[in-house]
Amino acid sequence: MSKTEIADVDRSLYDFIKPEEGFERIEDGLTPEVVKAISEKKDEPEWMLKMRLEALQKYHQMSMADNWGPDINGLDMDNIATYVASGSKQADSWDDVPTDIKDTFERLGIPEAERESLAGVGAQYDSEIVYHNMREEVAEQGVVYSTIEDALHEGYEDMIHEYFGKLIPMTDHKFAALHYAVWSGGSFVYVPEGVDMPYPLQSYFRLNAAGAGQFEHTLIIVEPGANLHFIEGCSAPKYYVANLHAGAVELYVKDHARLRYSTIENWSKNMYNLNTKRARVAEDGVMEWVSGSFGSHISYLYPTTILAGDRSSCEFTGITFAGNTQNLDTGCKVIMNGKDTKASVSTKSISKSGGTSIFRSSVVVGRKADNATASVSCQSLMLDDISRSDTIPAMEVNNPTARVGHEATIGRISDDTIMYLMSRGCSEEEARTLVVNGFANPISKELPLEYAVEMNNLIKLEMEGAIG
Amino acid sequence: MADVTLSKVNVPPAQTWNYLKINGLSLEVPAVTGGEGNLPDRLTRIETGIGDAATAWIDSAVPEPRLISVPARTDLDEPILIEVESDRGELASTGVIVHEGAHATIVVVAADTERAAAGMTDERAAQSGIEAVVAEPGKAVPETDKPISASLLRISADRNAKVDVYEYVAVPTSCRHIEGAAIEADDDAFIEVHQYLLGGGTVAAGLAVTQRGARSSFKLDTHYLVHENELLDMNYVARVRGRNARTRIDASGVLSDGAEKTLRDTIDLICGCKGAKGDENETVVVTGDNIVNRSLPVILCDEEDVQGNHGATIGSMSVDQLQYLRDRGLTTDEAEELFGRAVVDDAALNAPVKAARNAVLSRAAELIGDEAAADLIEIFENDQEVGE
Repeated sequence: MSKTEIADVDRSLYDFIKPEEGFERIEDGLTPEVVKAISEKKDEPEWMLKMRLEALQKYHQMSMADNWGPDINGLDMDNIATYVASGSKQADSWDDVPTDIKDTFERLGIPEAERESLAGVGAQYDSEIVYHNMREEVAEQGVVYSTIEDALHEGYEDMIHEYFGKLIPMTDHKFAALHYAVWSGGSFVYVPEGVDMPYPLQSYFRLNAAGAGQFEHTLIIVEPGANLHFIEGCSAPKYYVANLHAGAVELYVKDHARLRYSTIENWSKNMYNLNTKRARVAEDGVMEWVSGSFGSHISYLYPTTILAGDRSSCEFTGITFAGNTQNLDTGCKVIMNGKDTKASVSTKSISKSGGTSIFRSSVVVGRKADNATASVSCQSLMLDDISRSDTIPAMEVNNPTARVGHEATIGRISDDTIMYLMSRGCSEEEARTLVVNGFANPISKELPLEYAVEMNNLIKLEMEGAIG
Repeated sequence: MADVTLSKVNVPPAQTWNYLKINGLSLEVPAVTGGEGNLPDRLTRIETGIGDAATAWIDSAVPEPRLISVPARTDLDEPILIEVESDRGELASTGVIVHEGAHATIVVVAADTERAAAGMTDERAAQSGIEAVVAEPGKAVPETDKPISASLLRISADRNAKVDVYEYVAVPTSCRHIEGAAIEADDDAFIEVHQYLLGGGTVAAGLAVTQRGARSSFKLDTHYLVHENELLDMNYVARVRGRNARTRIDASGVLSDGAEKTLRDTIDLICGCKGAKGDENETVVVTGDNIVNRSLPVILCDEEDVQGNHGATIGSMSVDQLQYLRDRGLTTDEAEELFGRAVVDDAALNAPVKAARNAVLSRAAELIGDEAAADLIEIFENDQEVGE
């Protein structure tokens, strides 16, 4: 059987660049002046500026761990613009969005998805949200879906102050500190008690500018008994300079509430994706993560769930596809503190064309988490002998009544399987794509249809020309 | 002599979040000098599981390491026995070269030999006039006051060699111990390691095997029982380089009240080891409160044509198991004690030499109680054959 070799794939769907003419770009680097300029632009309350400046100080004081994780020496923060914006006002109609930006989102299929199956859409272009809209009937139920900047000015300042930066403290790690210093854009979602959202909300993040960073903050509060599906998509064109994504996602799932957070991350392969996501789940709450990581050059991404309430539960379903030039260190963390909590983690990873995929996880069962049960399953597929796949799951159990199970497998597509499919008329490329799609199927079936299609297309795209 | 800190003991090849405190162990040890480390390069170059700092510390403390060469195509009649007296803080360094087609059995026993035959606890030992560090009521003995012993075993197995290793660590809570091993396996070499880790205030067990030979086979079977106020820290690393090599790491054990245990096991499937298979398995039974169990089962892979599997189960006895035993007249405590007793029984029954068996019996009373220990001792009083 011949071996797989990389051939550059056509990523034209995502790799188109729009001009930056007329855009405002704050000077590169990280200084108090840059931070003050961002804050002033947003006309923020004093406490937010104070928080930003404190975070900047922490960023300069903190260092990255040097004993684990992919190398990020290629990321020079002195050459990253922390704020780039078109200058256009946020619109609630696509007709009011500047043509180039509108065209970008048209090509990514966002307006069409909004028309067909979403309760609301937010679209961020570089550092600012350029479009935000929500169906009227959803708004009538008291649901709030806006940017954090708008929420601060529209009567939600106390709520933002109460929740913002509490779940992910600025001291969490160096890039969390950076995030709080220069955050811009993102989403604020508030779902009132008992409201069951029939359709998902979606935010799409597009980073168009070369050598820039995107630092959006997503804050979602799902009140008791409410139910929300939130979808996050992201992409960027490829440049030959480093781009940075250091967003933060803070999710509060109250008693008996349910939140599903789906992500298809398709950053370009010059992107350093150092994102932080965390959820806190109260009594009988349910948190579901569905995560697809396809893009970026380097990723550090471990959505964290804190099962604080008794009988709370979480599921994490994820897939990572690492190709040429990619080192994707992804996984999740679960902290179980409530009694009778349940956690289920199921991940798949695929490595090809010299890519490195690392599954990293931790499950920590606290002393008071009586009868906690957790299961972690990780399957890795190696598609050639120039790639790498590691699994690094950690477990810490501090309660004698807990039950934790873990299983991991690493392997390749067997020659017999390929032979079988080829004997039934498939080419080798088709056979391999079929097997990889089957491998990814448990994840794609958890995604909304259009995202499942996108994921399958991404796999097809990555597999095209892969047989050399 | 002033203490020195070995800050990177049992560090795994792939580390993770530092706040989990799973990336290694730090030990305060007495400063030592005088060792020359005159083992041949083919032994000293082999990676040890305990890490460079602990390896250098042992090497520098042992003036004359023991070197044993097993000639080609010979089968040693007697096991090679390495005894370490934990209460005296004894350190041992041993190198064994098993030449082509030879077979050797190596037994390492680390125990408080003075108390070994009597099954004495620290308190009883003190009452009998045997020197022991005993804590004041309600206070733990400071870690640095506990003597620390160590054994470092290096093995180089040539092609078709077969090596059986038995490691018995049964040191009292008042002592600490480092159990290090470095193994290299050539083509078709077959290495089987049986570890019984039955206690000690702090025990660091690190083992690394380099399977450089095609079709080499490595099996590690670890059984442990961690008692109250004891810490067991394990680090196992298998570097798989040879084609069609086979690696299996099984660890199972029992954590009783107040026990703390960390297990890191890594199978590193290195590019070129086509056809290799590696399996890791861990089963932890928790029978007490206030336990800390940390596990880091890692598979590293940069070869396509391999299979790597890992499975772990951590928990207490299931309701069904408990009910089954209750139906047969056992209380919950008695049912839980059965798990500990199974480990101790297994260790004693499989002891290849009397010294190993005595080491097990020396801790039996502390681990499984006077009555069960007495039963066990009685069984072996009628059996004088083992190792004699």
